Parts: sequence; structure tokens; C-alpha cells
Amino acid sequence: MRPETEQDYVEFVTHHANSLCRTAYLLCGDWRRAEDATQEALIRLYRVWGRIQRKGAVGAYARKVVVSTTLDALRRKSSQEVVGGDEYFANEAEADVLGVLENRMVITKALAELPPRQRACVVLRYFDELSVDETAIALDCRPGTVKSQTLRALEKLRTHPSLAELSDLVGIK
Amino acid sequence: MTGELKTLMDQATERGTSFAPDVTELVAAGRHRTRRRRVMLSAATAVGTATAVVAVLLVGRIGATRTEPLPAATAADRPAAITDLCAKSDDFFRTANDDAWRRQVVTNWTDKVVEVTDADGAMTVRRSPDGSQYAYCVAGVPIQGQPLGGFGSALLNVGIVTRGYQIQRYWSLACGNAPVERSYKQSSCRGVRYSYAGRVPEGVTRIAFTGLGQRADAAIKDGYWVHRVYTDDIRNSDPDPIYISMYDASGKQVFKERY
Repeated sequence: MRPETEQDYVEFVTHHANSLCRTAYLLCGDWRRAEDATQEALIRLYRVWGRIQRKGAVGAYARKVVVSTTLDALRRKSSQEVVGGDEYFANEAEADVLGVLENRMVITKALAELPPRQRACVVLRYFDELSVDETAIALDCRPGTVKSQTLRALEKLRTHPSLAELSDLVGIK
Repeated sequence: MTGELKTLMDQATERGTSFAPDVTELVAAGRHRTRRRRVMLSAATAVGTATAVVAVLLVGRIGATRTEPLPAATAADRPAAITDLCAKSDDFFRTANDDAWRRQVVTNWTDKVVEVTDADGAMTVRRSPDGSQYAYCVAGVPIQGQPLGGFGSALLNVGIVTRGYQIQRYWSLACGNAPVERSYKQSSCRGVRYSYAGRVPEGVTRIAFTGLGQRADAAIKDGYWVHRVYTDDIRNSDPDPIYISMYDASGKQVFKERY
């Protein structure tokens, strides 16, 4: 890679790593896994950086790699951990009992109960504020799928008991 | 509701520190993978070409060649079973599921930095022939000719590139305290072995394990460490979870995490 192209990569990582990591965290519920997945995605991004940069879609591609890396890591594989380690919030569920009362735990608990693709739709649409089409690109699916998955996810979140207890969400349709 | 969702998710991802990976290390890792991919592509192309040439030459001779009966294969002729589960801490996602890489490590990475053997087999940190890379492996002792080994591995607080406290964990099942073979699927067996390996952080001189009714120090050598914890019932981890603590030379605790 040419030095100036590599410098662009360095600048992208410097400015976007934290944002990508936050997205990964909402997808997996564990900061360590989120950091690992983000780093893995950034290394993968390096290999295709020149090509992606020419297309002008660096941000979208980076988000797509982060989403796929994070969701892949959550998926059970024959040669990966399955005992007490592959669940959403595996490391935090019991460590922060008081935190359950806080809003941040309420939303992350609710997200944890969504299927991964629905969770990804909610995170990309309402946290990263991507459009339906951009979300479809990130998830490598059709826009119609994003719409239906998002709709189902929102229905579940509306009826989630933890969210229902939040005063500012009560009665919201 | 969607407005509140944004606010709630923003709150959920707030923390004191900002994630800032070491870009130099990321670039170095990216370059390394790019080089390796090019080498593999070149090698695959060369092998494909050679195979095609050989196939063409052989096709011309098939009719004239009579097949000789082969002698029965002896145990010595068979390739040794590769039972070790290995993964690199800095390339975990690729190596943990790459059987070819695993076989290469077990065959060629004969420099064992640290190895501990117990009833369940060995835990080893292996160094690559050029001394630049390390792999964490677990291997099992043979039972009725079938070697055991870990079932899988997980990246724990490792950080692909940057994190100081590298810890990798493998697990395998057991029936009570008796190890079982890899293919064993009986759900009533709740015993679990957790095998840990990692790099000793700078300044750390002792790594202690507590949990599941056990207290012991990890074996440390040449900057790497390994340790195994086991229980006859996975449910024991609820009241007595596994903690890893690290201490410096003065005895001060510098790291403690639940794994």
C-alpha cells in the first residue's frame, strides 16, 4: 500500500475505531468482544483499503465488516467456546446487579433478547442512524428484510417488561 | 419510541475510556496478512498448475499401467493424528478453525516455550520456527487409542493486537472427573476442564487462579503461562467462579478478572 493511502487508513482508524466499537458493543453486549471484533474488522479492512477507498464507500464497508465479525463471533462453532462464554452479556450479566436499574442496562438487556439480525437492524437503524438501504448493505440483505426485521424488533422492544417500566417509554406506540 | 432508543443506546455505550487501538500494530498486522495471502495465492496457483500437468501425463499412462496390490498400511505408515487445538492470540479468528494451520503448528512448531501435562493432557505454548509467532495449544492423552483434547477455545481479554493481558481459554467436557473423548455428546455429563494460556504481562511475576474449590498458581516460563482448572459439575461455577489474579514482584495485585 502506498504511504499516502496508508495514511488515509490510519486517519480512518483514529477517527472511527471508537464509533465502530460502540456499534459492536450493542451487537454483542461485551466490551472485550466488541474491541476484539473491531480490531479484527479493521485488520480485514486494511487488506481491501485501496479498492474500497476508490469506490468511496469506506464507512459503509467498515460497518459491514464490524457487524459481520461481531455476529460471527457470537455464532456457535464446533471449535469455539460454548460453555458459559457465547451468550450476550456473558461477562456482565451478574457483575452489575445495581446497573439493571439504570437505563443503559435496561436497553442492553432488551437488545440481548432479540435475535442477532433483529438486534443488528435496531442498532444500525437507530443508533448509527443508517437508512434502510444502508442497513441492507451492511447486513447484506434486501431492504424489505430490514424493514420487516426492524418492525418485529420494535414490537418486541415495546412489549419488553424492562422497557415498559421506564417512565419515558410508557404509553409510547 | 425510536428517539428514546437512540438516547438509551447512546447511554448504554458511554464509558470512561474511548477505544483507541494501536494503529501501528493494526497496520503491521494488515501488512502481514496481505503478504501471507499473496504467498498462499501464489502457492495455490503453482500447485494447481503442477497438478494439472501431472494429471495430463498420467492420463496417457493409465491404460498401460497395472495396479500392484498395496501392502496393508501399518501403524507407522499412518499419519499421526493431530489432536492439539491451537490458536494464535493475535490471529485468533482465523487460526482457531484452521485445521491445516493447526497441523502445521503441531508438526513444525516444535519449540515448546512452556508445557504442563496432567491427566487431561498437555497445555503448551509453542514458538514458530523463526521465533516470531506463538500459538497456544491444548492436547490430550490417548484413551483407548483415541487422544483427547480441548473441544474449543475462546478469546478472553486477549485483544488481537494491543491488549497487555493476553488470556486464551480452551474447554473440554468430562463425566465427573473422568475425561471423555471429543466425540462424546452425553448431556448428563457436566464436568468441564478449562485450560488457560497467555503471555505474562510486563512486571507480573505470579499468576494465581481461584475458583471451583481450587487455588493454584499458573506455570510461568519465558514470558508465557498455562494453567488448567476443572470441575465435575459446571453448576459449581455459580457459587465459586474462576478468578485470575496477577501480582508483581512486590506482591501487589495488578490485575484481577473473572473468567
